[in-house]
Amino acid sequence: MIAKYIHTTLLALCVTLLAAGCGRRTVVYTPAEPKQSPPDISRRLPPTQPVKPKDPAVQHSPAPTIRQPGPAHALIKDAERAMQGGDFQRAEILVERALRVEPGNGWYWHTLGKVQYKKGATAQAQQFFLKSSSLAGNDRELLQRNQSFMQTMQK
Amino acid sequence: MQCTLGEMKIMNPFTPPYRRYLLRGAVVLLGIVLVAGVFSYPYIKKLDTTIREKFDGKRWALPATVYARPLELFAGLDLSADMFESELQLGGYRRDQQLSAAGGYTRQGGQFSVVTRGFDYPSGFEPSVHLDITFTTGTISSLTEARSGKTVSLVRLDPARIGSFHLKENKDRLLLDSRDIPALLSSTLLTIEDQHFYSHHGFSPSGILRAFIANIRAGKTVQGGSTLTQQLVKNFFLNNDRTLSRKINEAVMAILLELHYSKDEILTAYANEIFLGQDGARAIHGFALASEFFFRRSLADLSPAQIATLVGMIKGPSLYDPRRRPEICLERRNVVLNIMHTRGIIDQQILDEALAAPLITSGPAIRGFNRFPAFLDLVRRQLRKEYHEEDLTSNGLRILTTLDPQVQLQVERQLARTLTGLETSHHIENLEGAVIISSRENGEILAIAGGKSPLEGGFNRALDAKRPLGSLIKPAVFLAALQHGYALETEVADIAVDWRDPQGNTWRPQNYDRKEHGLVPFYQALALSYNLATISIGREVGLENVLSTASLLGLPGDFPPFPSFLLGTAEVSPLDVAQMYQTLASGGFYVPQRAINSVLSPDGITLKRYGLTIQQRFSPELIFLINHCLQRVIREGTGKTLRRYLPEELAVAGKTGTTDDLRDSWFAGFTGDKLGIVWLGRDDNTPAGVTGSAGAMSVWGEIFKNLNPQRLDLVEPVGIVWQSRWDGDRIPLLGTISDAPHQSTVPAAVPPRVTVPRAKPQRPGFFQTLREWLN
Repeated sequence: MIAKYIHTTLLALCVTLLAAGCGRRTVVYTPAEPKQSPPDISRRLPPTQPVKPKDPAVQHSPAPTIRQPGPAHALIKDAERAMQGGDFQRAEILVERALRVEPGNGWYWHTLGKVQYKKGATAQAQQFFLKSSSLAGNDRELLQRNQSFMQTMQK
Repeated sequence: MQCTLGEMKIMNPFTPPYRRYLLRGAVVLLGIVLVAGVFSYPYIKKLDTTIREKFDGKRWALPATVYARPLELFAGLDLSADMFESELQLGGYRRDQQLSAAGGYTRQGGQFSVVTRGFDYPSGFEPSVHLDITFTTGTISSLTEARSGKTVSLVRLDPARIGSFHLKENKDRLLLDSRDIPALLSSTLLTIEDQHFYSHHGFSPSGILRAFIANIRAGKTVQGGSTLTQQLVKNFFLNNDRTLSRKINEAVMAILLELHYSKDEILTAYANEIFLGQDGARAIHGFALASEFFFRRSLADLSPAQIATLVGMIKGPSLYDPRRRPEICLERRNVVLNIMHTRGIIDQQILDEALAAPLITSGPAIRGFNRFPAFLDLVRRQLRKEYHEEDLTSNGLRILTTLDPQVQLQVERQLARTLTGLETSHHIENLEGAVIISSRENGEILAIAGGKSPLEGGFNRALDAKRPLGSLIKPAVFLAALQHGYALETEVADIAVDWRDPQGNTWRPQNYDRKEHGLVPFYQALALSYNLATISIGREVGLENVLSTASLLGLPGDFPPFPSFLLGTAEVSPLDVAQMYQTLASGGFYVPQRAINSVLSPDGITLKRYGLTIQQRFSPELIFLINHCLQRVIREGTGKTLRRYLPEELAVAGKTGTTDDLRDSWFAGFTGDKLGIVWLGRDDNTPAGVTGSAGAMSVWGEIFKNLNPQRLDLVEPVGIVWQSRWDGDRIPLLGTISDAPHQSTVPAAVPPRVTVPRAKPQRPGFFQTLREWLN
């Protein structure tokens, strides 16, 4: 008797469950699982310390462009001299060489812009100033110099 | 007429009866000569034409020489001592304790002393310099000028010669001008081979007689009677048959040569043509090439002993081969040295030093000249746009390229190794690959692999294999979305849709895992490469806009607006893909990829320069956002396993790509300094059986592991703010534009973002519920 009761109940349960599950297209939405997130460094470190995040994708402040003379500094000086002497091809060659050594240096891109500007190639000059600014980070002086050249060219 | 000298009668030969006979004899002789002359004239004329054509043609057939990029040296450069030494050896530098000439170096552990060779650059001639370089833990720690001890801030090694474009004959030349022939070499050559070169007219009967007598005396052949001119003719035209007719031809042609050309020209041609050895199928002609081949030095740097060796080999290059018959070669060298001393060309001291010197001081000879055929292929194609084939193979042009031999060697090594490993582990056959590496900011191509066997040449997959790029297209789709108001946090629907095209065909794409993921944040859809989300985005943004973005990125080709474009059915070459990702890597600036730096004349005059040009095509803000997403691909997405090869701190940005049935495996990625594209697949387009991450990405990882990669620090533009998410993660968004100067000609996409209709919340289905109950 008890066995019969259990059997019937189970059968009813199955039927009920089956009825509940039928006829609905199921799209299971699972919320995104919590990711291993990088630590919020800006709150942990005191502001006077240089922020050197472990995960650079979360840097809070843009990295400044290198201002200290790098290994290619002498080439840039040579390029400036060549520019002043009107030898623009030589100036270009020297700055391009400097950029191979330090490709992320916004000041070098700025110099290349100046060469193009002095050469009269204003369209390309503008592009190099834009590139320089894209690498400037929070180097306001560089941003302003680029801006100033671009404004002059627009006139 | 009779004359009397005392009582004797002397007969004068010019008395009429004798005169008549003599006269008749002279006329007959003249007649014979004239007839002979008339009959032989066409024959002589033919020889003359042959001489002129061949000689003039050869004289100007200077092949173009191709150079790699020069290695820049400065304190702080990441470069190991071993890599530096391999760079020196590739450039033909040799170990030389005395550092007696340019092109030599010494090494003691991490301490090098190098005498560079002077080189004509577009910016001017840079003379040879003697440097002391110290390497400490994979970096240059000190760089000074050897004599003064002064620190040198930046200096470059002269670029290595990596190949030449020459005529289709199987010969190689390093051709010389008469000024390039060292005085000691010409005097030795003339002394040994043709003492009376400057006085004969191509053919020397007295020379033959002298040789004849000397040979008779010695009982064997000890002297040749041929002049240098005759030898030149033999080398140029004729084979080694020593028949009488050949000898006559040779003599006549030698005379004709001397009639047309100066002694100087003939001597130079001789110095360039003389056969001096065999390297497999390649014949070594000329002293300049022989000097590189046997001694790994340029002609100007040869020692007296080495000059004697080469001149001694003329008599029999196989017989006197210094590699195969060193004792015989040494003996012959010493004979020549003694003659040089006897004739006063060298003094006793030099003779003693030379006799004591070993035959060959450097290691194995450089095998083969065109070491990097896939790269040279690209160079040739780029040059053909401006130069004819004859210009390339006969005007002695010097081509400076962007090839980085260190990167190239790593690419070749790792591609071959990894492909073999994958074939074994995945039980695949005939897996092939292609790799392109370029500089991140200036688009210079550093290395190309056209296949797994780099030396074979043949089908250049990097340039010519057109394959669907699969998920590598997705950054273009997502970037187009960013341009149309999407943000990284925008929720996108990763749900299945039927896409019906105007023809009535239904397309029902799926995710790789065959699942739907519902609403997911934009950045995650890219990191995990969800197909369905990509299609939702593509539909929303519009196919035309996506195509336009792809084209703006630099993906070449005219693609029809099929929805399947969104999932990368467009067929492109690895080089095409490299150009597209170059725009992303360089921060939104289109930088045409270049393999050539400049083309110079043989005298070092710059004929053409391929300068740097860029064009901003996307705002810095949008590019920052998309590149951030690409960093997430590696950090937490389909490229996660890259950490097996490179530390996460490098923050590499990349994208994996796999096409239908795993036919193609792609990976595109960039670090702070370099961009790399890898493709794997089979030439017959049957499934390769590896995904983008398992296949192409592992090759990429192995290559970059060995390249001292720089960390990718994306410079954050002013218009970016960070938002913390509920799980502690932070994502960048376009913020309000501050009062700092905002530099861009391309307008940043402006929020408000497009609202994506939320899918109706679905109750979990039967099985999900059951699972939850049972858990």
